[in-house]
Amino acid sequence: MAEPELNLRSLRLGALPEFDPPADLWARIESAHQRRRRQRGLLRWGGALAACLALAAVFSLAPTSPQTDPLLHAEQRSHELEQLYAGLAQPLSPLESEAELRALELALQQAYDRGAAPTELLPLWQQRNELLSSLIALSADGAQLTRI
Amino acid sequence: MNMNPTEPKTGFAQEIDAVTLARARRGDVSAHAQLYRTCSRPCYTLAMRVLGSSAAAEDIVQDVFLKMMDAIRQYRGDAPFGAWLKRMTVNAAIDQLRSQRHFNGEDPEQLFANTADFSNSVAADVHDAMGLLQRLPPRARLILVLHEIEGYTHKELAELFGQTESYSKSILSRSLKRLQDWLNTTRVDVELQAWPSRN
Repeated sequence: MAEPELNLRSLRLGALPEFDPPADLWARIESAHQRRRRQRGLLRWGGALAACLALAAVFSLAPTSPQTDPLLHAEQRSHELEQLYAGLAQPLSPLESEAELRALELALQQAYDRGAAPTELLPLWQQRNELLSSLIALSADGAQLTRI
Repeated sequence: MNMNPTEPKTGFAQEIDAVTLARARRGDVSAHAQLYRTCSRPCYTLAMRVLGSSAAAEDIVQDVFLKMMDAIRQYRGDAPFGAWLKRMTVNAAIDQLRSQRHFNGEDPEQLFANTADFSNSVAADVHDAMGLLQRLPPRARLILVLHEIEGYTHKELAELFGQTESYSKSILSRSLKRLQDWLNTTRVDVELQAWPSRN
């Protein structure tokens, strides 16, 4: 004879009780909800404020964007080249090029320290960029750097 | 889900009127309170049955209603509100069991290996249904409650646990067998105790 199917009712356990949550639970949930809303509101205001500040910064920088300011453009280009050079698997850097690079950086630092005009800074940045470009090309080709 | 009308319905099956739902979607606090008054009992009861602790059940209710107040804007009414809230409650209970590391290991045999340890941690009164239920391992209890009381099918349980249907069938069958064994032992004890001593 087949066994009767076993289920919770066939066990004649009696009804499982139902439970009521504590009387003050809704008040706690409501206050937690209010707290979360306030925090989100603050975050939204903070975000909006940060966006405004970022926009203001963008507008204040607009007249001297890299496209219109050659000095800024040279600085940015230098930074890009520096990252490119640092990212090379086997960068070649002859000692004289390293020394030249350090000398240029020192000259730039001294020029900034004495508040030099952009007309003086720009050629230094351009020299640095040329040197970095040639070092990158040298590493890529595996060739020797020849200065005339 | 099993929609057999003869099945005993839990409080999750209660109807929520469209106006209350519309107001709740707009963030009306009194509508949220109305939903709480209607659904907190079934939510708390389900959590109590599965977790067996009032503090844990309160956490579940708080978690579910906080989520509900945020998510109700996205609730489209494709499923009844009670079913939607029940799913949130079940998910919260599973999360809590996971955080208590009651969801480690997949082997049903292993799950029941330490049942005696669980039985030591619950109230001594095993004559009532709730007391017996709490002697089961938490995951087995969850499967039993969801299938036998909340009407989940094995297919739904398989999706919920990311397992095959035979996984929940195996756990359910072992749970019921275990309950029957405990119940038989308890009944014998009760009958023996019912006879007064002649001394």
